[in-house]
Amino acid sequence: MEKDTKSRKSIDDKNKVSIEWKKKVKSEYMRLRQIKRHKRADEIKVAWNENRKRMAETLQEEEKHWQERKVLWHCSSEPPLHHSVMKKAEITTSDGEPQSKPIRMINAVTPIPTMYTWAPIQQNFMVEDETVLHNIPYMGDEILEQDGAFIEELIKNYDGKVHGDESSGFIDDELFVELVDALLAAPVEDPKKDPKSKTEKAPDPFIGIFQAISAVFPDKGSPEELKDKYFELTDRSHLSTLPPECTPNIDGPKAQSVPREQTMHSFHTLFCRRCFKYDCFLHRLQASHPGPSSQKRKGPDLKPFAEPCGTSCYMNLDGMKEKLVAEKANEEAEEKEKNEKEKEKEKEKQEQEKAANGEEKDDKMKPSKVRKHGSLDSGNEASSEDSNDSMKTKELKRCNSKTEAGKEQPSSNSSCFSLIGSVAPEDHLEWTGADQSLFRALQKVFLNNFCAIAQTMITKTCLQVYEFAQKEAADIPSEESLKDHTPPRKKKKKHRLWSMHCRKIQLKKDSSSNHVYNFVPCDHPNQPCDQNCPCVGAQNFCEKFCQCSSDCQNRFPGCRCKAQCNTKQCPCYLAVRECDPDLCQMCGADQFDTTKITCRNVSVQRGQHKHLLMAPSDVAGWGIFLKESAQKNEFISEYCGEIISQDEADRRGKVYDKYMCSFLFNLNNDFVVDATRKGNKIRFANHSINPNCYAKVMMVNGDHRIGIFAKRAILPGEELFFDYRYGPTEQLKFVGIEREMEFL
Amino acid sequence: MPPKKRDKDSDSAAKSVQMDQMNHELFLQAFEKPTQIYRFLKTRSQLSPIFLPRTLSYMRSRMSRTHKARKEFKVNGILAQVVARKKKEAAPMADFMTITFLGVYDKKLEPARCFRTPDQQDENNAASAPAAPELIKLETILHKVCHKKRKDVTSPGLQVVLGESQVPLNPSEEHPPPQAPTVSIPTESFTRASSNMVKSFNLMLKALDMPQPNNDTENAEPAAKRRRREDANVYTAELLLFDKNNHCNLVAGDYELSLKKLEAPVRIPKGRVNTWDKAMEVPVELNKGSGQLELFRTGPVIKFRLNWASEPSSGMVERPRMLEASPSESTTDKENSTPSADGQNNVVAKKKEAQKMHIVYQFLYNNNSRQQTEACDDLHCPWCSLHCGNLYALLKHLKLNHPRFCFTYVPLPDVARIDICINECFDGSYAGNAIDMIAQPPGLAFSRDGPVRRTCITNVLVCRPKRPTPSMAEFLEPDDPDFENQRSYTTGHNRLYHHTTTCLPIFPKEMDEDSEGENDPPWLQKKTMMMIDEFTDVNEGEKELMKMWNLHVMKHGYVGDCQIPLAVEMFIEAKGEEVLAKNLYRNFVVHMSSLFDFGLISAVGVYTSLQKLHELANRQECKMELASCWKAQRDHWHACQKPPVLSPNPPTTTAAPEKN
Repeated sequence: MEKDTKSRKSIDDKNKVSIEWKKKVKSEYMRLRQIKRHKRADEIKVAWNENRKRMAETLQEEEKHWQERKVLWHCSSEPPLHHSVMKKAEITTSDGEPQSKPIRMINAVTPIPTMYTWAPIQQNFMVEDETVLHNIPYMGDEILEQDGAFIEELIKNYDGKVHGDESSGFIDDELFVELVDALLAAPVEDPKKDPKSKTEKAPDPFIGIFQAISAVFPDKGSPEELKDKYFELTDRSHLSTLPPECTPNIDGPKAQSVPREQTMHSFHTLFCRRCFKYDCFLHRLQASHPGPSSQKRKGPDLKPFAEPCGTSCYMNLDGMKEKLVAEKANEEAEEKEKNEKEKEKEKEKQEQEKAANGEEKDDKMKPSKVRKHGSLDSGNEASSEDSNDSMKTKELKRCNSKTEAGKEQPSSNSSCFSLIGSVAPEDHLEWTGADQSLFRALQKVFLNNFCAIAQTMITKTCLQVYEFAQKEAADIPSEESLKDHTPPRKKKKKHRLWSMHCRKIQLKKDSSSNHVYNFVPCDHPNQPCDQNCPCVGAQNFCEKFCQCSSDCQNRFPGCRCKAQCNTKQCPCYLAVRECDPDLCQMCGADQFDTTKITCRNVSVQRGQHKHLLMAPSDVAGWGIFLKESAQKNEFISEYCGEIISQDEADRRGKVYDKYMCSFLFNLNNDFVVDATRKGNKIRFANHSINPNCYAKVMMVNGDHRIGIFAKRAILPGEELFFDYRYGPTEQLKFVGIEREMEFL
Repeated sequence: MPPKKRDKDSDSAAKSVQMDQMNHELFLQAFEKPTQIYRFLKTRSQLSPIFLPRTLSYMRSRMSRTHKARKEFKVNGILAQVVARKKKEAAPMADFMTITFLGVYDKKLEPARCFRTPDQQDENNAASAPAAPELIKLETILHKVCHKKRKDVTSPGLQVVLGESQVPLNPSEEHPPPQAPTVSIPTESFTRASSNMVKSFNLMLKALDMPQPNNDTENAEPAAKRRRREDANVYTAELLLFDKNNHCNLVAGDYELSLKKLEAPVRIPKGRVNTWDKAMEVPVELNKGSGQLELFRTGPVIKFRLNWASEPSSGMVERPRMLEASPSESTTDKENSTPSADGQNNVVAKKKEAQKMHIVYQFLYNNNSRQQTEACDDLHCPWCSLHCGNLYALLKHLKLNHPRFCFTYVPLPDVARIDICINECFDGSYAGNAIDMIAQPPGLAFSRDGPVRRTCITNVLVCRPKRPTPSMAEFLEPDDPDFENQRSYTTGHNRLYHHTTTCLPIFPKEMDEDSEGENDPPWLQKKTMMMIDEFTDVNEGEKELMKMWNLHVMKHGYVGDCQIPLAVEMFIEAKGEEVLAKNLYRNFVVHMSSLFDFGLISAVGVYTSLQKLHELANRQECKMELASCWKAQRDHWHACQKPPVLSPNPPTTTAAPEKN
């Protein structure tokens, strides 16, 4: 280091950077790093102490718990009753007094196998590729001596990057900014040093500083670059405490009026449509995170209420009612046209409606509802046929809520929660930023039902909302654009076609190749799912997560089984898929209450695993044992772990192979499950060439997951084995290394 | 030559001695260790028994009481029972204690009387027909022992002579005299009220004219002289009637008391018939008292029957039959019942038969080439001295409790032979519950701390068959040698399990807790919260709501779009109040419209779920919270007046008025 600076001295001189500055840069840099190091050390100490404390507390609690249960042995000082016949240890003290104590034998406890720490998970967890080698694995001295090349090779896999291997020239953005700030402050502290030089540098102290930094850290770029970088970094941090793209909290006092996309931005981008969670563990790293599709609206829509919701309802405006009626009539006319096309069905439905809504007075409402049915059916073809029942109940519910709302009329504001009453009338005329943003978010949901919007907003009256909506004149999506123009299909016939189709696909799959690719929802607007669709290309079915239309030819139709879906009669079972709760309702896959499910083909998604117990294996290391018996083909457990890319698996596998202990399991052509760091108990299942379990990679709601099933009837207390070499289908190549012990 | 012969003789003798010694060594080699082990176990189980033998199904004969009373048992009846018992206690005991003397027995005199040698015949004129035994004058005295006063060397006593009776000496068992003398003692005489000083009551029996045994040194004296001397030959026996706590330990029954010469009156109630379980007699005690036992065996003994009666009887009564001092009886009547008068004889007769069984133990060793036999007359286990009651129970006990040996039963006419050999297949290694291994010290499962749960292990592949009727056939030599050495086919949890995260052993009571029971382990909950916190461009309200929603979804594991309306409903139920309290109402509304945008919930669903939240809000006190937050927003809005519009393209409030 010292040598370096010396040699570069001449260059510095050329750049007219005084040694003084350079020294200052160096000393400041060292000081800052020192501070950082101390700070970090302190942090670690605090964290360590905290952890210790928590551990001690847990231990204490545990201890108490055990003592209460009285199952642990406490060595009592009193000799047992039969001490007279016990062997004794005797000793004579110096003053000739013999002492003796009965000897108590304690059983030898066999040592347990080695265990490396792992974190329990019940669902797969996707992790990024590691760019640096986290630690150089220790495998005993002999390996290090014998096979030094291995470590080198390993490091080479990571482009020579090893964690914590920071050079002295290390500098990151944060440190850089701090360094510059410190140097800026420094000259003021020592004015007496050289007033001339100070005045010289005063007009542009930055250049000097950056020159000096650049001289000390030549790899960080030229002074100009550094300067730009500094301004860029400081600009951002100076602007506000919040980054610019962060919308203020809509519930906070500083809420602003922002467009709808911005209000919804966080929710839209972070929500995982497949896991129903924000920033989920499984799909957040995948490139194509499906956002909301603008085409689909899940019905039923909330139609404008028939009656005004209160004295301040917008419907009480002059001419409003007539307008609404006219609009309705318009819709009706449209509907009638449509209805003629599907007379028979409509008739049925109307009858049903009549039966259901016999008390309904408002006959005008009926056609509109019926229309919605039509559009709905086309919107969700898979569940269309048997969704009639559920739709009807929903419709009923809607009617109920509507009539409730209607009945509430005279006292709507009091019975319905609202804040309007709590303030002076002129106060709630104001449309704050939060109000505006919220209105925009809600308008897309409730469309023209201003009563509902007002009730939801709780700070505005219906009339105010209406007026604001008129003012806003936002482009309310017209009804037409929402309507799905695809005509509803004849279901039964189609279903038959479908089963043919999927069988064909299945056959094709079996014959052609052994490759299974990860499913990625397709998104190719205005293009049918043909050869160019990624799903078709990967020989996957399109799932509900795809942006393609729901009547896409590549979609899987689900099953209509009334039985347990555990034979090849079930199309889902045949296609190595678990039943999809949104596609298969006959088998009860959609039930939330697991006791109501007759389907046995949902075990992985519902986590209906067997109770497993860990004990030293009869074969090698640890083993996993079944607590209660299992029948043939019964689901045992899912093989969970970190989902890593094939490349990452190759890198990790090198280390695991050396350890002779691998928890890698090929998932599909793109990913591997690694249960080394995170996993569940089934990771302890050993390999056997005559196993009692088998593994099967299944498509579970768009994800490939590994299910472990019983190959034969298994008794309680039996150790579980499966054949590491063969996966569910032949495409799973052998992963990891088998221990020779286990072949015995 | 004699020497030669002797040489040969001594040679063979030496050889035989050597052989004997070798033989003995082999025997010891084979049987010493297991016997020591079983002796140790016997002592241990006597001092701190794990279970009572009478609870074993094959030891039913040791169980004296039935469970009939349990059927009628009622909790409410306990008081009545206690009251009844108290009443009974309070009631005076039987009015009279009647003692019927059966005879004085002196073994030393017996041979003289039975096999009369000529010179004895000459000397002993008194000898008569065996049917008319000599009578001895016996004085019955109640001895009241008083409290010792200071300075007194011996405790002062008060002696009340109750009567004198003629007791036959050595009456023959076959032809007992038809009459027996009795003495009745009124119980009033035991009352303490008479003198407070009385500490205890002793019954003292004085045999006034005991004949001297023949082998005495003074035997040579003429009979007349001897008779005179016999006046001085006063033998006494003492029996404690009431101890200082006023407890009477005597129950009706036959008693034998050894008589001692007056100079050292020793009380030995050793020969009481109603002893407790023989197995409980600790050998150490026996050794201590062996001197007295010897005396009891050889010295003169008086036998009498003690009865509690309401009527006094005096003089002569019909001689009762002797009760057998059979151990089998002692086991049947155990601690809580006295032999009932009527059924007594029957029982005795039956037991006698069983007792007649002679058992021969044949020890086989050195590859079954040698044997040693030992005969035994009762049904005590040779190692445990546990009385088994009958042969079946004995064999079963041997088989189950002494697995280091193999027992084979060989029925012979009027004798039962049990062949004993060393069990070569005995596996001394630990074969029990794996859990016991960590429960230190071994045997914690039998702790006295209360019941301890154990793991279930099925050791045999049968589904608890009907218990076979006890039959001696099961102890006979098996036809199929493999039958006995069945491989124990163990299923079930015959191992020690460990917790997956801590590697600590799982105790049986923890077996049912599945660490994978929940799909949201605490670390994952924390992880998801941390991951959301890491975002810089998500505001705190959104973060808070997202965390709540994530935890909710993780906990319940919703799998399909169709379950989202339910998820929302459950979310409002579970966390609706929290949402309102944390001032996240609008964020929740935005979250709902986001779900709507994703097509997961319908507009109606949004509306109804928000209505539900309103219901909660109406009920709750958070109205103020919401109102104050709204007020803060308005104030801020007023302060800023014209808010900065962050996005350039959206429809703004400024654009709206133009259109209007």
